[in-house]
Amino acid sequence: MAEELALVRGSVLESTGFEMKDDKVPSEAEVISRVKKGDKEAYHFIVTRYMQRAYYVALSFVHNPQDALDISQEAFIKAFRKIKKFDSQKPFFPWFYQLMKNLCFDHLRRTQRREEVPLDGVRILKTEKEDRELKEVLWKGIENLPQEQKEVIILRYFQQYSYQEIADILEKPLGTIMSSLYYAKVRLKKILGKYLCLG
Amino acid sequence: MDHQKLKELISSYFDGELDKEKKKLAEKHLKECSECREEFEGMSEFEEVMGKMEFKKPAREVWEIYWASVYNRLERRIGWILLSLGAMILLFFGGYKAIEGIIQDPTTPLILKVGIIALLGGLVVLLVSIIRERIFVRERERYKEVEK
Repeated sequence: MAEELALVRGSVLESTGFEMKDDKVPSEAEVISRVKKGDKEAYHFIVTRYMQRAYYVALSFVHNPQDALDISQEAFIKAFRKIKKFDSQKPFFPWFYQLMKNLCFDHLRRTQRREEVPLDGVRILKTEKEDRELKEVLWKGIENLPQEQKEVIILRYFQQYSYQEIADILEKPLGTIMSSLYYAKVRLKKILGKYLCLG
Repeated sequence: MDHQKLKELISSYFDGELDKEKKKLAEKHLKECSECREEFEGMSEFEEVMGKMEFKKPAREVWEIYWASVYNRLERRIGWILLSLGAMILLFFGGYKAIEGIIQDPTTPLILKVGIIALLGGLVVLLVSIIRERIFVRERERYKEVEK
């Protein structure tokens, strides 16, 4: 996140040639209204702000880094073409997330890769040695969760979003997110039982 | 609050997502309910393992050229659209001129002229049918707004 912010505040603002009032970062609604007029530099700002989040979301669906990169870029192209339909008073990312999710599902349908549980893009940090077995069990467990629980778990643990942010992105009530997370955790905790010495 | 909701509340408590009031409620229930204490035993260990999971980061260069890739693809797409449009106009014009020449040529056998006209008629009917179907299906598609 810090890296993302630094990019937005630093090089992006300079390179996109944004006019800043009182040295302030322009609001998203302001930028989007410029994008709607076809301003590609304004879109540069949006893409740079969300590219990392977009990539990781795509990766969580398609698992393959190259495909994730390709789909996330495709999603930005599609979003640019459809931006006139977007209500600029709403936050961009939840709208973009739904658009990209559909692209990911289209991709999975085309490539029939859904059954795979690739582990190349996932890792466990801070352990002396990566525990491949634990990683495999955990990732398989996440993969087998119902779609909504899976999304919630990934947004929470892989991207560190707060409950409210997840609710905004998935356009669901906060209570629903709370429930989904609870049920997902119960399932995963059961799966991880022997690794956590919980029985 | 029913027991199930209290469990969800306690789960959120471990995520540090509760306000003061709900936090107190969760702590109070944890003290009183052995079932919940048992269920949430080892939660911090679970959170620790989950907290260690992350996606591998791509090389920094990926981000440096990300916008350029998006921009190029955007630009290329516009290029393809213009190219296709131009090619279609040229093809239609060339085809029209070629067919016009054949039809107007008095030495062309009648059967060939009829064949060409039938072919063209068929193409037009097919084209109109496809366009109509696309528009009709899109308007009538009941599930087009449903998330895939």
